[in-house]
Amino acid sequence: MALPGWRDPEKIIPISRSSTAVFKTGSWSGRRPEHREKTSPCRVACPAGNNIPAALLAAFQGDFDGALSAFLEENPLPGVCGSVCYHPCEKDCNRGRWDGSVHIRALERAAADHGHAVPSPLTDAGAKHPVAVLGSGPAGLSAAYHLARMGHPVNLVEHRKQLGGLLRYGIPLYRLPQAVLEKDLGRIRSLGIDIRTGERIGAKELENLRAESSALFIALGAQRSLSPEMPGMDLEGVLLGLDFLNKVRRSKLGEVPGRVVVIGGGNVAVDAARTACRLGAGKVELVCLEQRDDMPAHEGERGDALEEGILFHNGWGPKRVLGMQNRVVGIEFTKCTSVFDAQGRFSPSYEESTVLRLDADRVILAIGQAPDITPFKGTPLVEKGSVEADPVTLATSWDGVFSGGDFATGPRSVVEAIAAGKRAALSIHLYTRGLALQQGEEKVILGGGPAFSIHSFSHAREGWNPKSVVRFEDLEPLFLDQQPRPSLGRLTPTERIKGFQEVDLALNPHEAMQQGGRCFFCGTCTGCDRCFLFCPEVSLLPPDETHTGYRPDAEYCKGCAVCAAVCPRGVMTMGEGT
Amino acid sequence: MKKFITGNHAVAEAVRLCRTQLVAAYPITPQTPIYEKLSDWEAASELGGIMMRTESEHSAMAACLSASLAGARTFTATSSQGLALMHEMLHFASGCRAPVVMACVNRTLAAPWAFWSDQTDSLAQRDTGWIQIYCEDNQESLDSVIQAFRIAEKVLLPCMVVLEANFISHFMEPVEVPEQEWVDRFLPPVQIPKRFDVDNPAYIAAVVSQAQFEGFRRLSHEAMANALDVIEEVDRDFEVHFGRKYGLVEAVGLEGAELALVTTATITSTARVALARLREKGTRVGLVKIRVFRPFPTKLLRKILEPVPRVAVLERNLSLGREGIFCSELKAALVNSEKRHQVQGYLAGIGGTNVDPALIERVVLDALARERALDEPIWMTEERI
Repeated sequence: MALPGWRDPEKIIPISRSSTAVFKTGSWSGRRPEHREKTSPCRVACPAGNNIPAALLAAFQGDFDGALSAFLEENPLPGVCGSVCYHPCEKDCNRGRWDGSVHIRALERAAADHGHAVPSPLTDAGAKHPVAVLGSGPAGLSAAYHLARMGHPVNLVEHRKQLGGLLRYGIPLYRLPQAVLEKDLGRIRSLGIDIRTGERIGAKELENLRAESSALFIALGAQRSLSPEMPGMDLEGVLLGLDFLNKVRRSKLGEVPGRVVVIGGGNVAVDAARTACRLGAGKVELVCLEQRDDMPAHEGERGDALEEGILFHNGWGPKRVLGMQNRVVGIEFTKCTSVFDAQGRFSPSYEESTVLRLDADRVILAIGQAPDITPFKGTPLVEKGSVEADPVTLATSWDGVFSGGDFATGPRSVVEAIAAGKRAALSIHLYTRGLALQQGEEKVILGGGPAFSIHSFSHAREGWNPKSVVRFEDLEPLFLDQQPRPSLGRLTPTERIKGFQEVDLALNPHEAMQQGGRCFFCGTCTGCDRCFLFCPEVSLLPPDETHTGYRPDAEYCKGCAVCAAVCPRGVMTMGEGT
Repeated sequence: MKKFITGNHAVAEAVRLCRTQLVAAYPITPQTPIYEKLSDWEAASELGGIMMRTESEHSAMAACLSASLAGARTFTATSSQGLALMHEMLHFASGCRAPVVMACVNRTLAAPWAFWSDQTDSLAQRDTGWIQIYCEDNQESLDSVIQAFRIAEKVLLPCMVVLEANFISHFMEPVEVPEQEWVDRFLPPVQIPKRFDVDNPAYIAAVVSQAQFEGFRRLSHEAMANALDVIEEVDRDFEVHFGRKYGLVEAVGLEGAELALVTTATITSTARVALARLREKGTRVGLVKIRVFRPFPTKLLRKILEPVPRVAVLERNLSLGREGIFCSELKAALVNSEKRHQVQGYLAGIGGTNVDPALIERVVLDALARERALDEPIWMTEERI
């Protein structure tokens, strides 16, 4: 029996079973959301230009192969950087303004430890242009690595027996374990670079190499320790910082008993002092011109040294080494009243009457290093007694010869050397094609530079503007949890000075996933679907086989900006257009 | 099984016996004990359905409405300000033809602030399209909730069961609580249209044209009109199952009466006593209790009152600037009677003041002695503040 009209479910309320698709709401607005990946501030701060959010997203998902691949896109030495980098990335991390920055360095190390990935080639365009790289420190390795990835036959020449330069012969093992370095080097070797170790290069060899190659990159580091002119330098027991570290790394020096005084305020000085501590020195004192906060050594290293019992004497300059029977017994300092002159130039002034005298069985001088250019005198490389390289292109006045890293700039950090090598690689690659670096670099500069993405140079990413940086204000904190930055595991000072075991404990995969999850992934789409789910018009289309990103359906998107408002990481933003 | 319980408790018993699937509510005096009792049972896993603690009465009704559209049996309870806040959603429920059942515990509407019995809160919802049943005591409250689900689900309109603050909500009386088995026999599992069906997607409550709007209103009005028969049919079947019957309207002792006293809700109980005494003394007065207010039982009232020349309407509510609301409704119902009635309105119990047998006697005597009815209602409380 038919229901009466007043009870018929199909009649008593308005029910529409037709589609609302007839309403083309897309014509209501002139603006559309844009799914555009942007650059994270950590990446801009990273001299190597590491794609940190992509790597950390993979680590968070437990994909350490993917994480390592992401690091290897820009950086040949993720294990090294994950161990020793002074991590400027963490300083600029947006999470720093929330509940503490992400442990990026430790995660880079975790990717290198737990990931299995090989470096990927970028292009084969360089195949006809062989390049010689001199020096296998971080700058040389980085240049060789990226040049090889761009197809260049690379000839890597190292005068020592093994690759690594300062990484192998300078940085102490408690900061960079041997196995970590070897793993990084193994990946670089896998690119088929022609490696020639134990070859000393003089002026003649340099000229020959230039003739054989389309270009040369010289990255021999700053190996020459500076030594002050003062009485007593020839006494037994006086050592130079780098030589000391070098001897220890090559096991030529097994113990350092007695009282050790290290002179210098930089990283080499701190390394030397901490190394002496580990070799049985009874007392280690570090003396430098600078006040504690002005020391060039990284803050963390200074703190570690203090914890390990090293005494700091800040604001003193060495005057003479005291000896007895040709052996060091002490050293005298005068008070340093200022390090720089009014123009900011290094020009220490002293108060001669105030003297500090320390007893010492050994004095280690680590007051600075400089490149050794003497072998190249007479070549076009050395002009007016020095080597000048353009700070952007790294080209020297000798056509086709480039120089970078500590050799060109004086001592800087490992990651800056890596960055210089990468810059040289792109610059040389473009040079061999008759272009200036600026012409190719422009579209891949990250934020305001100088870091750039070499991966994007050959693999342009659609819709990605590397100059557009996601600020903290661009994030949507409603979707961000509170998960304060934890302290990571370290050896106690007592445990540390027993030997050369690594001070920072590496993350296990579980910890790495947890720490990776703290990343906001600023500017990197994680596929969280919030824009898609919150779109009130169901007019934001998710990625599919032909589209990598989310995109508005122009027929229906009315430009309400809800998707942009709910994007936690600044990827979805409002643009103009229809 | 007989239990000595409050009216609120009786309502809660009914909600549980009806196997209500969703109770969405917000606490408000004097309704709160209903909510609390149902919560207790839910905590003890004795409720069967789901309690949804919403952030407001507006949301409570939105939740009931949505669940009802999904095909669930739903219930809420509220009072006074809560009902006022729910107002917008009351229209939605009836407009969507969702058979939500609500217990409204009558309470004064602020301002001034008070907690006593007064029917104006529910009567103010007169035009929202809800069926309204006014209860005289605790037993009737329980029984009416059970009936309400069957009525609402049959006519596809929401139904409000109205009980008074304190006199019913908080006073304890012996109440016959039916066996589950018998309630199940009387009230079958819910079977109402499921509007949210993923296999048959639809958009409801869409924008409609003027003519369509009018058309839907006519259908709802027809449903209301037909609800009178449904209510009576359900009431008869209720009597078959439980032995109790209430009717749309109840008439007592109208044979040969000169005056009919018309009451609703709890005043009726007192009036039964007062009028029995008057009739013993020879006063020709009968009693008419209006139980169902929407739909208004116009024809039935006209028929019952046909032979009675005088009508006195005594009530606990007021439409300011007019009179008691039942009085207006009754006058409108009688206006087309063949015989002319003299109808006088009386106000008592506004704000919960006491209506005792002596006051009711005074109403009867006044109505019988009055030569002409006044347009204004007569206030029966003598003291003024």
